[in-house]
Formats: sequence, structure tokens, C-alpha cells
Amino acid sequence: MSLQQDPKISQGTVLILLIGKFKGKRVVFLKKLSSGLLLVTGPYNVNGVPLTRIKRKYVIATKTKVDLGELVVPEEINDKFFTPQKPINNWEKTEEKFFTKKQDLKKVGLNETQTKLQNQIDKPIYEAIKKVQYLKEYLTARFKLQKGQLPHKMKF
Amino acid sequence: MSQEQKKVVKPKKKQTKKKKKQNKSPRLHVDGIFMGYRRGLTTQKTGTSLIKIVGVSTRRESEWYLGKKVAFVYNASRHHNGSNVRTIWGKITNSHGNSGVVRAKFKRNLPAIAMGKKVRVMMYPSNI
Repeated sequence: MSLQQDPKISQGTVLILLIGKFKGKRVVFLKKLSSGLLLVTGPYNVNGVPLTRIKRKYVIATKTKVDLGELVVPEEINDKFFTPQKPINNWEKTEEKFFTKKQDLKKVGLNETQTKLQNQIDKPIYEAIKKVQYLKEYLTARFKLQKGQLPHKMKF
Repeated sequence: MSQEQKKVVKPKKKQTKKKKKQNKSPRLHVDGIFMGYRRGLTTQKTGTSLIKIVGVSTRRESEWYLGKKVAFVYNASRHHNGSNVRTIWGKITNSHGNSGVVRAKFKRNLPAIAMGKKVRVMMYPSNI
């Protein structure tokens, strides 16, 4: 997996997500993970996007950049952080599964360490965002194509 | 009727604020039209479709869209996985001619019924 520097994307660049639950959202780029995926955050308190990873090809890099200084992303936030917890062996065949209804199998929310890391990362980013006029509103607003707007004529 | 009688002051209707759908899914695609299949005068090759992207009128402009994913979205009568909306995915392969028309190949060839219908040209895979 090549880890070549993308000239358009560096720490603090605002990216537009094109795919997924958060499509259209403008997020802040943090770092490129070893798997090649890009680590981004909303920040969560600005536009509801938590720490997520996306592929470079599903993202538009804008010229807008948040001045993060030399922000060090904790080592704990890596690809393993995002992989789901290993399920019980042969869960499908256990008695517990037999008696559990589908609606009761709720998705496990974020645990303490995840929320702690989220807040830890978001705090300095939010401070940097507040310094620039309209940047918070810019990140809150979603990107969408309006009538007459053509992406091949737009400058990002 | 005098001027004063004509003027009937209507009570102002209390404007009820309609709750706007704040987080409506944004449009992140460009509309295109499926013009037909790639063809000579008498024979058509249904493996390749011709797409006219709205607002693209030259070959140079169409180069931005090469490689982008395209989706033909349609409704079916039977619901499957909670929805009756179905898609046929494809991608734009090359330009076609000098006027901005573009060729696309779909996973399964587009049905002939789709001719003249809208097709969605996505903005990904992006290299912006």
C-alpha cells in the first residue's frame, strides 16, 4: 500500500465526503492510516461526524485548511480502533442467539475510551476552528449540488 | 363602489412555520440522460450506453467525468430489503464525439425502456 504524499491533502484540510451516512459533510482530515484510508473527524460537536475513516476516492479535497499546528494524533487511533469487536465463537449456534429476538440485538454504542479519544482529538481542532471567521458555519453546512451547478466547472 | 368600501382588510393569516427538513440528503450527483446504445446506422451494441450529461457540451468538459460511477435508478413493484427502489451501477468509460456525450458500461446492460430517462452521474471516484 503506497503511502505517498498527496499534495492536496495534509493535516487540517477540509474534505467533502461523497459517500456513506455523512455524504455532503465537510470534515477535517487528521492523518492517513497504514491501511491507506484517511482518518477524519467532524469534529463531532460541529457537524456530528465522529472519528471515521474513508477512502481517498470518495472524498473531495478543498483548499480550505484548519490550522492545527503540529497536532499529534494518538497512536491508539489506528485501523484496529475501527474494527468491530470479535464476536463469540459460533454465536449463531448458541442457545442465547436462539432466544434473542432480532430487535434486541442492538448495535453497541461507543464505549468510554472511544468517546474520550473523540473529545481529546476534537478539543484542539474546535479551538482552531473558532479562530477563523465563518469556518464553523462552513463545516456545519453540507455540500450539495444546486440547480445549474456543475462539478466540472467548480473549483474546490 | 367607493375606494374605501373596496378595501377590505383581511386579517393576517398566522404563518405556521413548516419544519424544514434540515438534514435532507444532499444531491451529490449530476443528472444525465440515457440517449441510446452505441451504434452504427443499422446495428446497436447494447453493451455500451451513451449518456448525455446535463451541462456538458464539449469533449474537453466531459473528460472530468471519465471513470465516474453512474447509476440508473428505477422503481419496481416488489419490495426487496424494505425498498422497491433499484439501481443498475456502471461507470463512464470514454468520451463519445465532440459534443460532450459520454459512453458508459453498466454491470448489466441498461434496459431499452430507460432510453430518454434520467441517469445519475456520481462525483466519485474523485481525484480532486
